[in-house]
Amino acid sequence: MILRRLSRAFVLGLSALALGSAPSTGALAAPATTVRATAEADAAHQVLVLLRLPPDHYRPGGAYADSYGEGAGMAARRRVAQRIAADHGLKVVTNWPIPLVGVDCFVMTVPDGQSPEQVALALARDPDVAGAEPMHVYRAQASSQGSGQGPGKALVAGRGPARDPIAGETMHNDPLYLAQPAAREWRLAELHTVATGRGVKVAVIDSMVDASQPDLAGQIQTRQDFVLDRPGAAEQHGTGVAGIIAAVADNHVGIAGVAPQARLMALRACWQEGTSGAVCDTLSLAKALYFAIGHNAQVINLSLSGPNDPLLGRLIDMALARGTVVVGALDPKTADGGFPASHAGVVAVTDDPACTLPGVLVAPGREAPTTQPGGRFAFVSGSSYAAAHVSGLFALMRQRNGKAATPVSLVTLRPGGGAIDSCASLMRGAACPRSGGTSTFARE
Amino acid sequence: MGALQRFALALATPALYPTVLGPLVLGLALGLAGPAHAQLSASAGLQSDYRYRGISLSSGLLAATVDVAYDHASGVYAGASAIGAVVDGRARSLGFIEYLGYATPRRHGLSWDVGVNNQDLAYYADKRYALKYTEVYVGAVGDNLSAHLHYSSNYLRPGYGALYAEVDGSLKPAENWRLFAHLGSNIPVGDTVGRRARYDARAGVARQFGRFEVQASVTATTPDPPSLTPHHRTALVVGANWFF
Repeated sequence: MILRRLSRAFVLGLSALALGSAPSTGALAAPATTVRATAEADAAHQVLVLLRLPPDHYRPGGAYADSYGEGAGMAARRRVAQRIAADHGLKVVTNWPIPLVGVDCFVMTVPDGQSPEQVALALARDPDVAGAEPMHVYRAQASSQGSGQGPGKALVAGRGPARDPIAGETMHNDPLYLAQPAAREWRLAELHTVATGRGVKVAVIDSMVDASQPDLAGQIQTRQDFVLDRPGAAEQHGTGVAGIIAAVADNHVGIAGVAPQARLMALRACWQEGTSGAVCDTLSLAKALYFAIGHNAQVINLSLSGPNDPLLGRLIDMALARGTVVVGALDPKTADGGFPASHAGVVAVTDDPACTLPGVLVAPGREAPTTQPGGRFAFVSGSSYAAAHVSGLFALMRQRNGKAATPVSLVTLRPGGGAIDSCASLMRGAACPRSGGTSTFARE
Repeated sequence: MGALQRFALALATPALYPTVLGPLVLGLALGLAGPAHAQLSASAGLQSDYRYRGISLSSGLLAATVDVAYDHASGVYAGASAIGAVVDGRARSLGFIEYLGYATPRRHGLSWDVGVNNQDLAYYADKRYALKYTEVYVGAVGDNLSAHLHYSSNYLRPGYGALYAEVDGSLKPAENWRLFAHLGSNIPVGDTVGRRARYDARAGVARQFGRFEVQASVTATTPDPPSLTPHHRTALVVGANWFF
């Protein structure tokens, strides 16, 4: 009985202690909001401090589960984060809980003259810290973006899958179809007689996709912007990647996407830099990955590359464990291909036919026409677009073969990598569709 | 005897709950609240009516709560709450709640949750009707939805078994806003003479302002609550919490 009374006295006493030690709220910037007033330069002076996020659980009382536990836990972690920041001379910028991997991610600014890498090492020794790492920057892997062209209606006319008057092969009526490398190298229209990616959720984690592009009309199921402090209009790289994956086929406009009936999740984690490039950081990518995983994306396209990152690696591992295919663009300027392409389980893709890195796949990605903002089209090159082709191919494979379509079911022309045999990968040993077969569009 | 052994013994021996759980919660908080990957949190709140599973314990009067929670990195957690009603400017105790449990890390979007909690509460209007019982529970917790099943062998009086099943959901329609809902059912087991199943529901909205949160919710229960306290079948409850 005495002990019970002690425990009850403890409740009140501890509360009083906590009250006395609570830091002023003004010391911490609004944590639940993405506050990133500057771009890449600021990211280079930030660290991510991961505090353990306990799993949600039952909390008895008049306030039912989840009604106050979340707020109390968040306040406790902010108090710890504030203490850590003070100890290391940092400033807390924002935080973002990631229950999926059991951490609350705090962004802290490193003072001038200090290296984020060194600060992260020092932070990792703090017993309250579950992990610490510099804020990394990632770049889209486009080697050339080309210049925007008109609506591209001139090359081929006709409705529905037609015969190429020269080759006698099945094709699409999209005017730029014959210029698509996938039309030649993958015989895309023939693949579409088997599957079109119908209903497969593909997450495009990239810059802002132009949902009003006529060749993407109706293709985007979900849009989310994780770069709220840098509002942007439609951006080139994301729009180009989305078009290669899922541009509408047989609409007499532009191109045919590799998976024209896939359902796109356009997740903006990158922002346009200069005229064509795109840049992202660890936090924006983590948010987008978390969203994609939480919304059951079946394929995640990451046409970007940067330093190895433990937090992103954990999220990718979580996606892979759920059976999601993660496709990454190879960075030709790094020895290992860069992250996430180098991460175990990620499908690494390049547009360079001469690439001999083990496990790296080669896909069409040079001089590929694709969608651009403002209803325009452009020829683009780079492993970004090769990765987009493979993401589209996986959407076809997922439609036809379900979860059996995994990275190991890709068939390549040489063991362990190289050019993809798209038809063999899709058909899994069955005969490839004959030229001139009926498109699935015709049946629907 | 180690803490885990005592915990196992408490789970297996309901009669020991009241004497074991309180000290165990206290011991865990004092012994494990070091800095190594543990989280100690606390909150205080005011509610226009303290409703427990749909029944008002404060007879519709303003109630205050103080909660302390401890979460260890291993998944073990413990907590305690003190509840009091504010009457004529004076605080009067409605009782205490203690709990101890274990939640697994989340896998495939779900974590599993087991534990035991001890309620030692009283109706404000009539202290003769105490709400004393101990129950064990098991549940699953997802991103927006959780479900728990509770069992008590001494629900309100010795020998009265009861199951309580509940589902809780929450959604965040915008930053700092949360919608929440709850459905619960208390089902007598064992000696059911004169006892009926009860149902309760709650739905509301919460808005967080930094360390503060305000809530408004509607609660309902059926059949009519015991007639010993004056309260309504449904009620609008507003409240505020301060997290520190």
